[in-house]
Amino acid sequence: MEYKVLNKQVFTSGNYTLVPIRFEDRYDIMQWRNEQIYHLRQDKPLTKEIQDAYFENVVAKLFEQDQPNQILFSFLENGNSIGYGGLVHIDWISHNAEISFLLNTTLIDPNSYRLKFMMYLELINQVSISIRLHKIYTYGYDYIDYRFEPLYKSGYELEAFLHEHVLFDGELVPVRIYSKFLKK
Amino acid sequence: MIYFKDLTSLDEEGKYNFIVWKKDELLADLIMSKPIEFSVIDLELWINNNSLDKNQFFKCVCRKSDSKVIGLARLMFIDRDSKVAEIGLYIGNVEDRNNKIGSEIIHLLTEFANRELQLNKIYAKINETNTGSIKLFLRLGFILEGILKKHYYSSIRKDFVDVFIYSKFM
Repeated sequence: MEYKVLNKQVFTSGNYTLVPIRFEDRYDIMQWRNEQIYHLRQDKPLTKEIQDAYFENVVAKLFEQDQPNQILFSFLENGNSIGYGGLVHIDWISHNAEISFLLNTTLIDPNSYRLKFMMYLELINQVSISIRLHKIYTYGYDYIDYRFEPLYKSGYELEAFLHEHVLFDGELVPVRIYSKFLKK
Repeated sequence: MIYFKDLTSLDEEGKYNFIVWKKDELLADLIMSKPIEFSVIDLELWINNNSLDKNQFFKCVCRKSDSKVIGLARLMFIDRDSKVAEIGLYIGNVEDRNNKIGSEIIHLLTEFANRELQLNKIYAKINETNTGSIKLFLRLGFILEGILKKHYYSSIRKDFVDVFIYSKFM
């Protein structure tokens, strides 16, 4: 499938590639989301039926739209799917969007995560420039500290520190918002 | 001075007001929305969708003295686990806008968030051109938690403007 909104569909850097989200990856994504539900905006585990309905009713429509509110990709390493993400809450008037990213749960050790996340940020930067966004941003829970270094190294700046903003492990923890302006 | 009412019970005049406010470019720019040409059917659909949203407290603001609908008040993205919600409001007509009414709306929303929803925190996103709201929220004890730089394109200013996040803990 190809996104109508994108002139270029595949974005590559070294061994890493973003391709429009693949139908065949939907159950891997479901599994990763369920395993990492503790840090996602998701209140109950996904089932195959829910995931199929989401791909059919929401994802499939994104490919046809001139200005979709999200553009999702499968994230590949050497051709194998290792995660997914994209630009969500795309604001076509203010030309900004939130970055989402989820890595295969087995790859979430800090060192592996840092490298893969940095490569992902490079690729999503390319996507954002291709659709002429002015700014991209991401929300990060304060306890996932290994996520922040790749953001700083990739030119993101802390714009907001929201105290006691999300419940994690029985405790209200802060949320940070990091942003980056894109060079045209 | 004011009270809240369900939008599902709007009379003809109330519906007319919202259709006018939805397409008001200056108001849309202040509240970081898009001006929209609504038909009555569009309006009813918008009201129904928002009223059915379990993560939203969605009311119109009425003046006690004449029962006229003068604006909108809402708590959005209510997260009952994290005990957080975003507050949003507007007063439709310029002549009705004043600090007393604004304060009372925020006070009523805060009270509902605290008593009925047992929230820990509410926050507002306000663009830098909306100086009246910024002063009002600060006066009511909201604190600045972040500045999203050049985050909103103001069609009035023809430029990107900053968006402030103000929060209040219960």
